[in-house]
Amino acid sequence: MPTYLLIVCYTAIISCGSPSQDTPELPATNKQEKNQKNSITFVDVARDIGLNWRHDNGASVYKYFPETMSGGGGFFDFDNDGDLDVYTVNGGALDSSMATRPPNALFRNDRGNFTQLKHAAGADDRSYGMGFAAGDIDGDGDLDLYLANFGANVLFRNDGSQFYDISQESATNDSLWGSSCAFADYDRDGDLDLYVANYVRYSLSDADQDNTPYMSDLDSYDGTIEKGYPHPANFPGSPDRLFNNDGTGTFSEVSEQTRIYDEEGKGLGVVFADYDVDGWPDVYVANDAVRNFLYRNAQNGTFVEGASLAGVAYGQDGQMEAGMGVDWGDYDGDALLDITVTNFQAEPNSLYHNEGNQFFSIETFTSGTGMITLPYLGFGTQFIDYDHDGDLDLFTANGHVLDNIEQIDRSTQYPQRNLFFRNDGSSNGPVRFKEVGLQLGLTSEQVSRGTASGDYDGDGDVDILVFNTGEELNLFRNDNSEKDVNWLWVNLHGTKSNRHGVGARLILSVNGTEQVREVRGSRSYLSQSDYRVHFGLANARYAEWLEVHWLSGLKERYEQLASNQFLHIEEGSGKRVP
Amino acid sequence: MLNAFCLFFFYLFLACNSSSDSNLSYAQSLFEQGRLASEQQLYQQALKFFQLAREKSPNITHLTHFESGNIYALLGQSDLASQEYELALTADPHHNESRHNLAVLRADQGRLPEAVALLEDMSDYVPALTTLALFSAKQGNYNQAAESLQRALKIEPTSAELHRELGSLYMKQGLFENAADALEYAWKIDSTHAETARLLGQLNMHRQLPQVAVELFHRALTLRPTHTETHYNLATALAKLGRREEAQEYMQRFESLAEHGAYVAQLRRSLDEAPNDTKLHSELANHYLALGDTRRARTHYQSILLIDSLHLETIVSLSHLLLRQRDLTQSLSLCKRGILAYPNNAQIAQLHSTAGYIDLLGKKYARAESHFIRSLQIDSTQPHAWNNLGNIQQLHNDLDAARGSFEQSIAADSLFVDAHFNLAVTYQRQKAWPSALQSFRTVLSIDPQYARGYLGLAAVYEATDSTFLALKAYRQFLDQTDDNIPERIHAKQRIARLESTR
Repeated sequence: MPTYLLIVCYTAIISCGSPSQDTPELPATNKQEKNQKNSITFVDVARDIGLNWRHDNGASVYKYFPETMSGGGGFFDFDNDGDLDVYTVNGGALDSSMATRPPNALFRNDRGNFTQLKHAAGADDRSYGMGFAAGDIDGDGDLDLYLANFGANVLFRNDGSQFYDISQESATNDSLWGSSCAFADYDRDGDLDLYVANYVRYSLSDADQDNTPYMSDLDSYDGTIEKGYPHPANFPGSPDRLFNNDGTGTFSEVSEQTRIYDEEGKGLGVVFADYDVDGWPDVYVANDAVRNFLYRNAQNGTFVEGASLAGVAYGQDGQMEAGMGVDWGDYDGDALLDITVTNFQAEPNSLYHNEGNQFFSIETFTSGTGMITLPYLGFGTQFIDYDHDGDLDLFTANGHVLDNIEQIDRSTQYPQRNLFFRNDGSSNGPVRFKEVGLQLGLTSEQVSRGTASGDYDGDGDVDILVFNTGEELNLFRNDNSEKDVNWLWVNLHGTKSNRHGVGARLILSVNGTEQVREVRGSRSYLSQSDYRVHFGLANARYAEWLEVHWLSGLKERYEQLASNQFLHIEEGSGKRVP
Repeated sequence: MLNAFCLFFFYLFLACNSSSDSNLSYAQSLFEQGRLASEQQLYQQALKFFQLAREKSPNITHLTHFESGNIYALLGQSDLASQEYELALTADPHHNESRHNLAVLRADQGRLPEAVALLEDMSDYVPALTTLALFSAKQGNYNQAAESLQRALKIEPTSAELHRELGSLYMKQGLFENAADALEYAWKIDSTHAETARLLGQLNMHRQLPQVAVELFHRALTLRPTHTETHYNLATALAKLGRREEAQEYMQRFESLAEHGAYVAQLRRSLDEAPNDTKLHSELANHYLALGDTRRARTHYQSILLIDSLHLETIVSLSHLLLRQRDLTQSLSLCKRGILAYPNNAQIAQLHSTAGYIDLLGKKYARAESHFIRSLQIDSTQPHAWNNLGNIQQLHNDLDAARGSFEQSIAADSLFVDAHFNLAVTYQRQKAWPSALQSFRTVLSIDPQYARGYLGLAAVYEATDSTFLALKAYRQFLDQTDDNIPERIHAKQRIARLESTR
C-alpha cells in the first residue's frame, strides 16, 4: 500500500545558489537492473477510492461512429487544494435527447479518496463528450475546463468552487466533431490559447449509409457479421480550430490566420511542445488515416506545417497511419523532444526521434517499441518516468475500435491489455525499451481510450488514469517499494507567463546528467494530465540545479534542490540566467 | 496473319469436325489459343476458347477455369473470378495455382482468415508461402511471416524475391544485420529490382549513411521512376542531409503518387461493389497511368470495352496508350472503330491523329496525311497533328507547307520542342540560316538536353563558316549523347574535318 503523504508539497525549498549540505550521491544509473522483484506494481484502485464511474458510449446497433472513439477525462486540481481531482467525460445514446444523456462527472480528491460532486460543481455537461482540457483562461488562479464534443463544445469558467458555462460568450462553442484539445500560449502573450483537434465531418444520418467498415467488407461475409464501425475514409476531414485568448477569457477563432486550417485533417491527438528549442510552442497533430501535422511556430502569430519533410507525417515507408494518441518527451536525454504516436492494429506505434535539424528519424523498431505494438490498437499514450530512474518510459492504452473484431480477425480482440515500455537506456546505440506491462500488474484487458498521469496520492510517483469506452475507468496507483529512489515534482506559478507555466521548459541537472521536461497538461488522447512536472532522481538526494525557461522569456536557475519534495516555483524568484 | 478473333472461328470449325479421339489435342489447342488471346488482352475471345476447350475435354477443365478466373480477376470481376477458381478446385482439388489465386481474392475482399486457411494447405508451394508471409506481415505477425519465407527459401534458396522479402521483413523488425545479409544477397542475384535498391537505401539510413542511401534511392528511381515509397525515402534522406529544396521536390512527387495510390485503393473497393461501372474503371485506369502501371491501366480500359465496345473516351485513351506501348495494330484497329462509330464527334480528331501517326510510322504517307488533315479539320489546335503533317510535307519536299504546319504546331503549343526543331530543320534545308539558327537556339532554350539541337546548330554554324562555334556545338552534342547514337560518328568526323582545316 502506498504511504499517503499529506501534501507536503509546495514547501518551496528553493535555495538559490546555496551550497549542498550533503555529500553528493553516487551517480544515478539508468542501467541498474530494475524491477527484478516486482518492486513496482500498478494497482487499479479506482473503486476502492471512490472513483466508481462507468463510461456510457451509447453503443447501438447503428454503430454511430463516435461511440467507439469516445472516452476521455483527466486529472486537474479544480479547487486549488493541492491535490488532483478527476473529471470524466461521458457519452450516452447519441440519438437520445441531451436531457436524458448521462452527465460528465467531477470527483473531488480528499486525501486520496474521491467524492463525486453534485452536478459536477456545475460542469455536468450532457453533450456527447470526447476530449477534455483544463487551463486557467482568465488568470484568476483556478483551472477552467474545456470540453470537445460530438456537437457544440463547451467552456466552463471556474470561480474556485463552481463552474459556469461561458461557451457562447467566449465564442469557443464550435460544433465540429472535436476530439483532443489543448491549452497553450502559442503567441507568448501571457494567456492560454486553445487548440481543438477535429476529427471528421460526420452526422448520425451517415450511419444509414453503406459505409466501408474499419476492417473487412460486410458483403464478403454474406451478412453473417453484424455491421461494424465505419472507416474514417468514408468521411471528409474536418479542420482543426485555434482560439486566441484576448486575455480575459474571450476567444477569437484564428485558425486560418495562423495557418493551421486544413480541411484534410482527421485529428485525434494534439500536443504542444517547443521541439526546435526556439522558445516558441509548436504543435503536433495525430490524424487518423491521413498524414499527421507538425506546425512549427513562425514566431509571428502563424505556423508553418512541415511534418512531411521533418519525417513525422507518415510511417517508415511513407504510408499513412491511423494516428490516435500522441505525446512529446525527451526519451534519450539529448535535450530534444521526441514524438510518440499510437496507431492502428498491425501498424506499429511510431517513435520519432528528434535529430535537432528540423528532422526526425523513425526509431520505432530500433527502440523495441514497434513489434510488440503490432497486434494492438493504441489510443492514449504518455511518456512517464514511472520508476524515478531519470529517463522517460512509455505507457500506451489499447483497445480495438471494432466491437466485433474477433469475428473478423481472430488474432486480436476488442478489449486489449495496456502496454508499458521501460526505458533501458542505450549502450552504444539507440535507446531500447522493454515491455513490462504484465510485470507491473497491468493484466486487465479493456477497451481503453484516454489516459492521464499525475500523482493523485502525493507519494511522489506517477499514477495513471485510464478511460475505457463503455466501461469503468481505471486508476492505476503506482506502488513503488524500491528503496533509495528519489524524485522531485515541480509546480510552476507564472506571474508574467500564464499562471500554471504551461509551455515552460525545465532542465534539471542530477549528477551531471540533464533532464528536460515541459509543462504540459494536454497530451495523450482526449485527456488532461497533471500540470506539475515530475523528475526521477534515482538514488540522488539532491539535484544540482534546475533551470526554468518561462514563455515570458525569463530564464531562472535554482540550485541544490533536495529530492522527494513538491517544489513550488514562482516566476521571478530564481537566479536569472542568460 | 490471322488475328485471335479469326483463329477462334477457325478452331471452332476444326473442333466441330474433329474426331472424339483427338478431342484432347483439340482441346489443348483451343486452350493455347485462349491463352494467346488472353495475352493479347482479347479477353472475350479467350473466355470462349476456354469454354470450348472445356467442352471438348474434361481433362483440362481445371486449367480452363483457372485461366478464366485470371481473366475475370484482371477485369476486376472478383465474384466471377472466385467462381472460376472454385470450379477449378472442384475439378482438381490439388491445383495450387487456383487455390493461391482464390486466396489472394479472398484477402482482397477483406476475408483474410479464409485466405490464410487456403494458403496454409500448401506448405511446399513457394508462391503460397510468399503470399502467406505477406498476409502475416500485413496482420502484424512478423514471426509467422518470417517462418513462411524461410520455408520457401528451403525450396528455392537462390530466389532474389524471397531474400528481398525476408530482408524487408527484417527491416520492419529493426533486425538490420539480418536484413543486410538478405538484401545484399538479393541484390547480388538481381541488381535490377527497385525495391531491393530502396531497402538497401533504408538500411544505409539506419547506418547513418544518408549519402549512400540517397545514391541507392536514386538507383531505385532509375529502375522504377514511379516507385512511390522511394520518393518518400529519398525526400527524407535529402532532408536529413539538409538538402531541403530537393527534398521538398521529391516529397511533393511522393504525395502526388501516394494520392493516386489512395484513390486506387478506394476505387478498387468500389469496383468490387459495381464491377461493370465504366466510370470507376476509367478513373482507375487514369490513376494507374499516373502511377506508371500501364499494364493495369490497359486492363481497365479493356474492361470498359468489354462492357461497352464503343465507349469513345476509352477508345481514345486506350488507342493512345497502345501507341505508347508500340502495339500499333491494336491501336490502329481501335482508332478505326471509333472513327467509324462516331464520324461527327469532335473527339475523333485525336483518333485521326493517332491513326495518322501509326500510318506515318508504317510509311503510308498518303493515308497518314489524310488522317492529319481530317484531324485538323475537326480540331485545329492539335500541336502533334500539325507537327506530323509538317513532317509528311517535308518528306514530300513541300518545305513552305511544312514550315506553315510547324508554325501552326508552335502556335498551338509554344513549348513543343519537336516542332521548333522541325521548323529549324526546314529553315536549314531552305538555307535560311538566321532563321534556322534562331529556331535551334529556341529548341535548346526550351530543353538544353535536346541533343539533336546541338547537331543542327553545329551544321548551321559550319554552313556560315563559324568554325569555332560549330566545333563547340558538335562537342556539346557529343557530351549530351551516349556512345550508341549513330550521329556521333558524323559529329566526330565533322570535328576532325573542321580541326584539320583550322
